[in-house]
Amino acid sequence: MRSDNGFWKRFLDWVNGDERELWYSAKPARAAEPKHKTAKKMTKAQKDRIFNLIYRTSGVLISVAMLVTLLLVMVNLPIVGEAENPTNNELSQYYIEHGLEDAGATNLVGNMILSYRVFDTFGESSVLFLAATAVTMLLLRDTKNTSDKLLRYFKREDKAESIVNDRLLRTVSRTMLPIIFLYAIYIMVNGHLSPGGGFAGGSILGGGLILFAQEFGTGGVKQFFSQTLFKSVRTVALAGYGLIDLYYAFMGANGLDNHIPLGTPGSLFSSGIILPINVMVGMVVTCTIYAFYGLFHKGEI
Amino acid sequence: MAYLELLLLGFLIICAMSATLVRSPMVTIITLMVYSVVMSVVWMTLEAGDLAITEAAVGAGVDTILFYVVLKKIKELHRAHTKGEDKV
Repeated sequence: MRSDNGFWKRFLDWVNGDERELWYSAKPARAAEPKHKTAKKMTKAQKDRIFNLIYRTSGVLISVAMLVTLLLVMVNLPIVGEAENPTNNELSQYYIEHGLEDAGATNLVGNMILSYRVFDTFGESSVLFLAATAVTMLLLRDTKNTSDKLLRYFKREDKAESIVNDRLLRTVSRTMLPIIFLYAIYIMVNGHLSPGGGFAGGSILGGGLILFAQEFGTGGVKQFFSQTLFKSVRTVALAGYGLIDLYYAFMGANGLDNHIPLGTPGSLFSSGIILPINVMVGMVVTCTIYAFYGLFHKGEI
Repeated sequence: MAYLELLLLGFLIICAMSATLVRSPMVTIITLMVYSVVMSVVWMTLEAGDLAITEAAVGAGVDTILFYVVLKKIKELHRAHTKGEDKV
């Protein structure tokens, strides 16, 4: 054992994927004391029984403690609908009265989540982006981790699917897909005028893409939605959102004019930053949802 | 209208309980999908259109598909395991 194995060195090794334990002792192990031969050894069944006893008891204790905590919290919560509740403050009144002139969208929810609380939504989009990245890291197939057996299996599966040829699915999806895509884009682009917005539109678009993949296979989706496009679209969308968000928040925090025209309330090109941000959130959500499906299904996008 | 809401809420409770009580995972997934659809109608009666759209799209659509794909994967792994292969 080397003597220069400081903690940080070991920590670095551990981060880099070394399989040694983080807390193993650098000192040479003491010479084992001669064991008492008379001490009775426990058999495996006895050990299992003791382990099970501890495991079950601690499980029950933790569950009961959690239950009691949650019940206590629930008892102390304010009653729903009371006028003196802390949720009924002047903030919602302010949003309703000044939302239109501050942010310019007729959908008040859009005003709130994409203008007053734009950082919050940025965090949500980042979470989706990171989740898609993590799933890609874990499940994406490439030439190194794909066996011939798996490829043969996929080929067999494709063949079986082409033989079965579900007529109901084919007809319904061919009829409905253009409508679904149009509806999703409508919800995404019209998020500042009517209920909906980037997240809802993006998930409908992602669901439509999944239906498309069911009907035409993942190869059919690849013809217009390749992996490069996937990466660039979601990166550009999130980066654009971040930049707009930064500019808007920086100008607002310093009391400067942000030079973003609000437009006429009610028309399509209005409400400043809400329309582009809706589209960008929609792109990130679409990519995430389709990536989840593609990666879980066959390990490819 | 109040009776409709009560009916929907009762249906929600039934769906939530039966999702845990049925034996087949496939039936659980479909029950959860029904739960989401009913929930989106409840959001609509509460005049929360944004939430209704999102619930219908994510809860009933995408969640169901993801659960289904994962269930299919698990069955494949199980089949390979019982056959004695290490991986599909």
